[in-house]
Amino acid sequence: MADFRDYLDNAEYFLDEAKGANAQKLRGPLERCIIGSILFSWISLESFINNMMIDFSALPEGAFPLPEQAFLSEHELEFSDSGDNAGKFFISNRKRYRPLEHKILFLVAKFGKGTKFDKGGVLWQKFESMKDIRDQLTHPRKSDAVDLTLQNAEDALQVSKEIILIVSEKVWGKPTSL
Amino acid sequence: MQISFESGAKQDKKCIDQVKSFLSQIPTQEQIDKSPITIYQDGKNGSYYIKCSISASEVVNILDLNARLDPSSKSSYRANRELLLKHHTYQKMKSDAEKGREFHDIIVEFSTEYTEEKPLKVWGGQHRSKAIQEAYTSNGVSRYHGFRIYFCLTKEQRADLALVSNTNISVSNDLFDRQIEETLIGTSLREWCIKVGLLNPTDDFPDQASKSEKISVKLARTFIVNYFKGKEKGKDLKNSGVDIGKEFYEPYLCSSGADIDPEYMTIIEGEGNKLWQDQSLVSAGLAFANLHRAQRTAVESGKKIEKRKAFRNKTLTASVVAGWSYIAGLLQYYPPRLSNLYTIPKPTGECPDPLNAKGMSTYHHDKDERTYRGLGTRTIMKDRQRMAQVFLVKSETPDSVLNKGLLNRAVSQVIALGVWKQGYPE
Repeated sequence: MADFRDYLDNAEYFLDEAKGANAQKLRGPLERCIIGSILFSWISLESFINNMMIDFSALPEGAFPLPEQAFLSEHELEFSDSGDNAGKFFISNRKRYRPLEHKILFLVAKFGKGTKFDKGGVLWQKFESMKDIRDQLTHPRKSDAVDLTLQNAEDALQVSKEIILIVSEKVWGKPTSL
Repeated sequence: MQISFESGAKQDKKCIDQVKSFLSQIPTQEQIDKSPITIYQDGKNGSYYIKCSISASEVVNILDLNARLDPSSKSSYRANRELLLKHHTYQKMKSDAEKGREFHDIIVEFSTEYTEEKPLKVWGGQHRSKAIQEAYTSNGVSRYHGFRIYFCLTKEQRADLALVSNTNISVSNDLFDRQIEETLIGTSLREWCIKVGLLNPTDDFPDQASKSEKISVKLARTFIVNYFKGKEKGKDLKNSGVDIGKEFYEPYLCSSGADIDPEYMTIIEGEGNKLWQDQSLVSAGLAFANLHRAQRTAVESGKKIEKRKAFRNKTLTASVVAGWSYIAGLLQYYPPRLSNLYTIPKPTGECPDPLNAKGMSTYHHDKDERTYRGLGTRTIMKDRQRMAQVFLVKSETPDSVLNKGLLNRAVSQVIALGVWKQGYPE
């Protein structure tokens, strides 16, 4: 299975193709490559964050409080009202997928030794904007038609890389290599 | 003939008697020339030697290339490395000898304690000695060659001489390890490896592990040390009631070379002779040898895995040896899990061999550099920790196989534990 670097490589490949198409004023290929690049940038970031969540969820029971364990494993935390565990919370088998931004915020807040992600900063604003474009691309509606530019693809790639570097540094103590 | 001690050498009657005995048996150029013989003494280790020239015709049949560190023990390690007769350097040496080249400073010991008919035991210059022998026996070339001949060596002096004589860049640390092991400890480690099946009865430890398919002294020591380190840790955790899944394990890698590894020495001194009789350690050794055999068999006979040396000998990589033996020690206090560890995984489509060598070689975590070469390939702490965790996870159930899921889980745990153990704000 590909890892986040493979997805970043793909994003860069499509960005280069998009630049080539732009230079030749080929509108169709340009849009296709911009979309490819943005989606691969997003996938790369999501892959990195999801896998980091999986690392922590692999720890034995009791390593984290129950709500955090449920969050890390992306399962529902439920309340039992019957049986031997009546009156207790438990992690059910039902999946509960969390938004990517929540996972990023959690990982940094939990393992970043007291630091927090600056939601008012330029990087986070660009991330929000990337997320909006990604949502519009993966859930297309004619009412939400998006006018894509090369800059969108460049920003998406840059945002993914920067967040991966920040989260890896906060959690692992040093930024990962890209 | 005049024989005298050099001014810095301490007079020694036994030594002078041995020198006389040598000169009465072996004709030298100095005797023909009636030159005086000087006995020198090594300022560092106190050993005695003379310098002389002997013709090839006299010396070829009395050179012993299988010198022993302990002349009294038949099971003594063969001290020297294997001759590299196809090596281009040796071929050049042989060609030069055939053309009449004289060689100098060949280091030998005069001893009739074993192989009496070959009293000159070669410690330094075995390839030159072989070249001299070949040139004489095949072409009849006989020149005078320079020898340094040692007398009355103690075991320690002999080991020191062996090390000094072999100190050049092409001599491996594995040879040093083998020599030092016997000098300071004896043959127990080799006998233990034979007992558990990690060496065949006639095997010795390899003098160059990278070119061999046998366990080296360094890896055998690593096995022993980690078993005891793991056992100590397991005892602590059991006594304190800590979950073994929430600990961070750091298997040790024994050092190699001219100095014996301190951790290994501590165990040798602490355990004494009972170390080699420890039945739990023997069981661990047997189980590991069993795993090694199963891995070799699977790769040699399997159709779903490449017959690569690295896959065949996956068990004998440093991180696998260190990780496995550490966990074997740790689980001494958890018998069901120990039994699971010792169980050889059954082959599956995904894992045709017990260690899933191919799966390990392609393994990659997001935290790894792009150049990471896979699990169980390097010797560094990170890889030793990962391998220990792989075997710890394997021990959770009797029928686990080292598939991608298990490898993922084990490495995830190591990385998460590294962060978790450092603490984070609640």
